[in-house]
Amino acid sequence: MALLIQTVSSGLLLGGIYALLSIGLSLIFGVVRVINFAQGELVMLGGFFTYILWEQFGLDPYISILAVAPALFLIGVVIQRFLLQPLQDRSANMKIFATFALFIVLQNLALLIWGATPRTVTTAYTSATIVVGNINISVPRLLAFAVALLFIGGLILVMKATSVGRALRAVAEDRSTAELMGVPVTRVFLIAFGTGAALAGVAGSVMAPFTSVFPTVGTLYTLIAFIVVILGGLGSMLGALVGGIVLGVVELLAGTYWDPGLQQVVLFGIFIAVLLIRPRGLFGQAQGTEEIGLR
Amino acid sequence: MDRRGFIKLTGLGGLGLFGIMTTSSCSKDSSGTSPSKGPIRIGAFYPMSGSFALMGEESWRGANLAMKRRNETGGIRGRKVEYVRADIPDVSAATSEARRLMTNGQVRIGIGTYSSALSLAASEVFARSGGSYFELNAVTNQITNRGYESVYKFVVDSEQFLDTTFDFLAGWGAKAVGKPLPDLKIRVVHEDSAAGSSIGRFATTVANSRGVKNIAALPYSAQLTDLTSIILRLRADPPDVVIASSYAQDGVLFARQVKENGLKIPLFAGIGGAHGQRSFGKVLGPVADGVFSVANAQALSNPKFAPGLDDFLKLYKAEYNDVPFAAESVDHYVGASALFDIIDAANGNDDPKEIRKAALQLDIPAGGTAAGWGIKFDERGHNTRAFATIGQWDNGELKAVWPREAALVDPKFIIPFTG
Repeated sequence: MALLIQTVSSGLLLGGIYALLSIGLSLIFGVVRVINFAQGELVMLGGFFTYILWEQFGLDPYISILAVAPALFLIGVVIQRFLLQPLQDRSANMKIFATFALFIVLQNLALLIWGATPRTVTTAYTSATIVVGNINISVPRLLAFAVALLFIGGLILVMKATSVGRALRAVAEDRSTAELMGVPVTRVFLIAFGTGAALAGVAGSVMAPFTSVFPTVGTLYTLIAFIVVILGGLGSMLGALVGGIVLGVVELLAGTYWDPGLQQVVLFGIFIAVLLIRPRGLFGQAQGTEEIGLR
Repeated sequence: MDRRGFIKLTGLGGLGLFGIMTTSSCSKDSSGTSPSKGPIRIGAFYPMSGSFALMGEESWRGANLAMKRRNETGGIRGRKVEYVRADIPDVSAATSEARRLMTNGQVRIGIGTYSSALSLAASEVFARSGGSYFELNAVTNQITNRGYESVYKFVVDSEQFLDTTFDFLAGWGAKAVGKPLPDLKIRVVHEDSAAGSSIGRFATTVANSRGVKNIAALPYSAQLTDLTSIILRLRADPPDVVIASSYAQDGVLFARQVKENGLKIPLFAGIGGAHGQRSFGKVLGPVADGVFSVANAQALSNPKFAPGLDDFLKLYKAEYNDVPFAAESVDHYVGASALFDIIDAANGNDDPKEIRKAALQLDIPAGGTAAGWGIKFDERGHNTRAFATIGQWDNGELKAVWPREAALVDPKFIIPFTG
């Protein structure tokens, strides 16, 4: 029983990280209707910026969010303005190719600039643990989970209670009508992509105390984010949170009780099952949002 | 003679002349480099970009220092040694670069490579194209098991890492843990690439041959960012010994998560080098204390057993203003130095037959190189005097503890990942 409780609690914390990896992608999917193959690379950039701020200035990763998030927001705006906006009215395939090319470019630029060496941040709380009975809870992972809840909650609030949020939701639901209603769609796309990139940067920062960052780490993050977004439902922030947690718990249960070597099989098995059985996901917005513009 | 006859004769004469020229050119090639005052050129194949770049650079440094040292002491028969460098970040680059350097006739001897996969690719080209290839520290036994007479490997095969590990367990580890060797519960935690999987496979074979029955492998994908499930399985059934094969990032991740989850592993031995990198000790600090690293060489070994090691460390400091990042540089320094001796014994001739004759005659006893191991190639090109050594982390330093002749200090019983 103790093993089960430990596995589930560790899975919850892992799921929170997965949710943080994916909310940015979900936002971009939902609003801009673009499959961003470079989302993991944006997390990687956030991780590297965090490492540099820690190494050069001794800045704690959680403090560095104040610099990393705005930096990634700007990078996201630039990507949307100069790469995707010119392709806005082209086919969905063109946009997919563009973000795929971006992933290759960012990864190789990172290799060129920083090399392949993994970088690891060490803080006073990196190996800290809270012990409750037989259950060990990693402090940095708990903090990452708390930050994930904070940002997802904050985003849901913004989406529901602010004019920017209403504009984002309107464009996500029906771009043409939103445009006719006077919503500045181009600016909304810039905000959506920038915010999605900033959230990726935050993920990179909060993971820094317990994972290493290296140029090729982004690939797995992108894959995980895709699975979570499909499971939770495109464009749904709550779906990203629930999807992430479900994925984290199931993955660790499979690894602990079945075979650690099959964890990724389980992840992608869930992915395929959702696509076949309920393609809109757990909290999918509406019929058609699962098509992501691939009409 | 009529016109037709004259043309025939001219044609035959021309063909004959062409034949003479071609034959003399071929025989010049097959006899190797003609006696010359020019430099002796060797192809140096290392991954300087891509995911192996860090260890590729460290390995290159060792070979580079060997070349500089040799040239300072007169080169090979008065001729300078020169490397023609090729960056081989992946298998297709290894093949194409080896072909490029061999096809242009730039080199007939190649060295490298750090990675087994890259070595197999580059050495295949050399072997099939009339060249010789010396692998200085990749470990797969496939390198010398393909039947090529001109491919050589200096360091141990993967299984031999495990032989050394079990020798250590039999000679010290089992007693330290408090159980006879056959009663030890051993788990092999390894990433699931070819290198890690071969460790997992051979560990069971070697263990069974030593009477250890309670051994099981726990493979994982090196791409995972969380190893909790492995840790929890170990916690549910605590082992006496964990043998691990990891990359640098998952080696650190494992260590941290073991500590987070309060798992106590009495004896932990990392195989293959990730646990021997300076960054492992630097990042983990006291958490690394107690970890054993099984590798081809240790940068801090008994100088009596590894003559020339102190010299190498001084050369390294002078050239790079640093201490070695990992012991791979020692392997490449020793291997390249031995190769220069081989070329010297072949009178500077790079013909594969002459090189083979000289290579098989090379006879350095154990304790005769800066890595501690000796050199004696068998018919396959495998170095029969290679062996692994074991270091232990303590207070931020990794010092050789096994075999006893190579040890700088005695091993200590420190439960790792608790600092």
